[in-house]
Amino acid sequence: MTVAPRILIIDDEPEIRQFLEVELSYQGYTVEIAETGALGLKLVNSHPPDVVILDLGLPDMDGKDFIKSIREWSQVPIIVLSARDTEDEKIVALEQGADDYLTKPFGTGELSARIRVALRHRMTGQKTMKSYLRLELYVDLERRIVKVGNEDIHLTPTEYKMLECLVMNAGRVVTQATLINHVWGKNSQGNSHYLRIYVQRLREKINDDPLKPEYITTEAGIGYRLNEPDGTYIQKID
Amino acid sequence: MESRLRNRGRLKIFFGASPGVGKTYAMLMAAKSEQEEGVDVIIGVVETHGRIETHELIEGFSVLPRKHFSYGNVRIEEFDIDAALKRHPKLILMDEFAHTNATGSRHPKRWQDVEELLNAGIDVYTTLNVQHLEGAHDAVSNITGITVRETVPEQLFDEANEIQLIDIPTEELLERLSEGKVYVAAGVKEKAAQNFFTKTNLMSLRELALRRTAEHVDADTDYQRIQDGLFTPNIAGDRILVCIGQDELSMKLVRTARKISSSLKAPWYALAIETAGMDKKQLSYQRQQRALLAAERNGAYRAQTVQEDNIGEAILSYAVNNGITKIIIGRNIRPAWMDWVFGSLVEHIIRNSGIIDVYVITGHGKSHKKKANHNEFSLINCGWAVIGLAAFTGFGVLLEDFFKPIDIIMIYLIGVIMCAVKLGRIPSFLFALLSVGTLNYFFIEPVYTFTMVDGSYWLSLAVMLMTSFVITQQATGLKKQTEMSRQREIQTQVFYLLTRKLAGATYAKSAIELTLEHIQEALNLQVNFLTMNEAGVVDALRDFQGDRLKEESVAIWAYQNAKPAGAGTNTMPSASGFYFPVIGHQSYGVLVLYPKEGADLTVDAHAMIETFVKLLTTALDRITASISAEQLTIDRESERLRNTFLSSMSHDMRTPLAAIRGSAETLLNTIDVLGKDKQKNLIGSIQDESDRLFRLVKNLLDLTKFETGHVALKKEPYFLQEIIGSSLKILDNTLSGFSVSVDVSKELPMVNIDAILVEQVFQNLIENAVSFSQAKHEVLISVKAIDNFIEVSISDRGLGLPEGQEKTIFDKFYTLSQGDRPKGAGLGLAICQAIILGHGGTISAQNRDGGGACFTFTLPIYEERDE
Repeated sequence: MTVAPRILIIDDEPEIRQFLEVELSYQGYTVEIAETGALGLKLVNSHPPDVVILDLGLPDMDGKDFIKSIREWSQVPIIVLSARDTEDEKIVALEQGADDYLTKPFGTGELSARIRVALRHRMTGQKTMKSYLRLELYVDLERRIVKVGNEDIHLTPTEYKMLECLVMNAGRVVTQATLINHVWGKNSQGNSHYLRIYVQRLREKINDDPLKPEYITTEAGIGYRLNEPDGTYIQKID
Repeated sequence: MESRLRNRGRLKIFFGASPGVGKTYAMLMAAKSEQEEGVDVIIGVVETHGRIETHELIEGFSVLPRKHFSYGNVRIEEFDIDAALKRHPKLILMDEFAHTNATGSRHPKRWQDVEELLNAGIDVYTTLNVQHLEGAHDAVSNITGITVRETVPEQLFDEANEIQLIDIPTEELLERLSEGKVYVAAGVKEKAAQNFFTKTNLMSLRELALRRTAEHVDADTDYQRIQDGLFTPNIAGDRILVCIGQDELSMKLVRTARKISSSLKAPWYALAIETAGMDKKQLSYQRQQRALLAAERNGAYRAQTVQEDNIGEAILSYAVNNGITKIIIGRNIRPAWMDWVFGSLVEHIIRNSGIIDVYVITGHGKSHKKKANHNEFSLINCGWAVIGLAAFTGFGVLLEDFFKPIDIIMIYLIGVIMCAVKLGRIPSFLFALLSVGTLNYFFIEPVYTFTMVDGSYWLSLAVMLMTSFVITQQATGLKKQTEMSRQREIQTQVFYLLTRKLAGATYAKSAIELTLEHIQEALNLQVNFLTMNEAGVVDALRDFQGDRLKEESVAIWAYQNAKPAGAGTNTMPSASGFYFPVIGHQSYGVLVLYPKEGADLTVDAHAMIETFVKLLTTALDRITASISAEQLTIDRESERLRNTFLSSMSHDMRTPLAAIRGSAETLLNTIDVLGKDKQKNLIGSIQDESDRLFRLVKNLLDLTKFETGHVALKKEPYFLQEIIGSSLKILDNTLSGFSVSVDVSKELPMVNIDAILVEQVFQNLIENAVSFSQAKHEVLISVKAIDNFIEVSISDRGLGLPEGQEKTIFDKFYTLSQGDRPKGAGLGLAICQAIILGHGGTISAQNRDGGGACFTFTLPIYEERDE
């Protein structure tokens, strides 16, 4: 018998807490609640959860500071909840080490998808993934293989690095800055112009239509997300 | 005048015949009794001159600290007018009314400080000796032989609320003098003092002082009688005209005119005539201008310059036009033959004045007219005259065989005319004189000698010379007149041009800028404009010149007192700018002119500036009026919008809220009885309605952000396909059952956009297309590059737009009325418009052939340098 994954919800709005608690318990998770950031920190410390859902608009502390202090000693996946007018904060939170985000109001489908991805990264014991399979696309980072159907795809080193970064974070949003740093190095002056061009080429090579992307989704103003690989449920129950 | 008097402080002058009569003492005693009655008294300036009684008296008062400043290397102490105005006592003591302030003070004269204090509503006590009264100037210099430099305008003396004569018998004064109790200014030679303080002088001065005091008392009673309705002043309706010339008499004329007019209680006019060929740089011209200003300052009803060549006629016609009854004119004593030869202006006026009385004031002043033409003298022109002479002589030699010498003289006259017109007076005279010699030498028998056989030629030559002089005079005069009228023409042209341009100005700033340009051009001076409010300078249109702090204080003074100040005026003349307040229906600011080093602005320039400012204020008044009218329309418009907003909001928010609340309540009440399907319906409606509410709130917040200008676009290069892709993904549910086709070329360039906002535009337009769709569920998106833009159209086959409302649909709160089916608060399109315009693109809507609407917007293509 497997132990149900533990999810810690940190939100000051009782309505949101209530709805999340009901929904997530129904989905089979063990849910813990914290009304304040301080209590949240304490709980992460005393009963380490598998996923943290953190509201960025906490009254008692800045969500970014919260992430920063947690990241000093824990790699627990953090999903941030943000209102629409805190776009900037969301990006900062992601760069501080949050794993993903949800914009209020969000649907339960979206919520469970994010939790699923977070848990998969958690369960494999690594923060990053080594291989990816969805529909026709297969990527094996250890053997450096990229295939669409049965056909080997030849990528330039830049294109490969980009795909590598997306695969390692499969299912999670990857900010533009993270992508640029991974591909061109930490100190490169981020140039989103080149980023767009390489994403476009990569999409062409893996047969992905930007108008109806199957693999790489554009998160306008934030970055890109490689859609969840197939068969995640099996991995999760595992 | 009345209102000015009402708010003005009261002025009391302690008036004496000479130093040493005890004016300061009397003033302090009077102030002391005021203070004892609880009046707030302060000493502005009191000179004790080391007298112990005076010194002891001062100790009972609070004394305003002097202002210290340095001028060059000298440290100076002077009365601090700003501190006095700030302290604002009820009564201030200002000793020595006629004192001249140190350079660098705000006003050159203490009486000007006093005026400002009075204008601020502060009562002033001051002291004055009769010799310092401007109107007594002539009498005093006659009596004592000393010209007094420090004078106070008569007007102030007349307007003083009270004159207290401090009088002691002459003997007593002489006694005090011998005891050393009278202060004699340092530096005044003992001999001069001895000359001044003689018994005869002192007696005459005492008489003068008594008379002036009596006149003032007279005026007081007149004033009282006017108030009581018992007396009409100036029953005779006298009007006095003083003609101001360029000689040294002019100042005296002004003083006389003032005196006569005040005893007749008649208004007076001062007139200066400007003739052709008058050189404005000349001392004599400036003297005339000064006299004119003095007239204005001393209460002349009007002081002006008229341009006319015939001085006599100009004076007479001015007099007739203004209903003048008495003309005062100056006349310098000169040999009678000069009158006989040149004619006398005074004679002319007396002969033609008709019923107007003429008063002639005589003087021995030298006329400075002679010097006036020196600048016409030009060696080069004289050289040309000589060359011309040679040419005419050569011509004459050629014709010699055919004509008599008398005819050749006529040919030379042509030369004189040409010289007069082209080269000016002196070369023309030179030509005439030399031609006499040349004619004699070359053409009159015996030739090549300066003698002549036929003596009658002397007459011919003399007549020729006379004729030449007359021609020269007339021709050069004509030339100058033409020049003058040309300049006047240019001036008129400048004003006309400015008026026309100002009529087209819609912004205050452009009107001011236009005016500045024209002034700069017309006067060839640096200019500036300061927008001001009560607190000080708000904005300067051009760079400041001179010491900023000091210049600003002058500007503030000019603004607050609504009077010109700075260079060339009586207020802070050491400033580098001349400050002219611009006041129409409201105070707009101050116009600044920077006169060239050492050259004050002429009365002419003043008149021009005044005209310019008048044109400017008219324009500014018009602009402000139209702006406030516009503001009113905007206010009304936003009022209307607010109302629309409230009604629209209350409807659009209440409907989903009612549905959510109702459904939830029903669910709660019927949880045990209602079938699962019905429950599901209710829950579905809660979900839908909250989505609707969410969209509404989101739109509202976005629009508010845009309207308050809180949106900073975070532009990045993007391929539009990506944004369309992400928008379509977000709208996945909305679009179920719709066919969406996207027509986009593969080679589309990138756009520089705020992705989140442009995604919003796509969402809103697609949702719009969906919600207005009818039977045919299709949305067509087409994207193509046109020039530097990418054009996006989103079309549907829905209801289409009402005819003629293609523009209004982008207005806030606009919704298509479709019976009872409103589709939102009409914010979505307004947001789209705000976002697209914010990116520098355009947005429009039109109906499609075959039904449906098409929304088209453009976005600028990304260029590398955008980053």
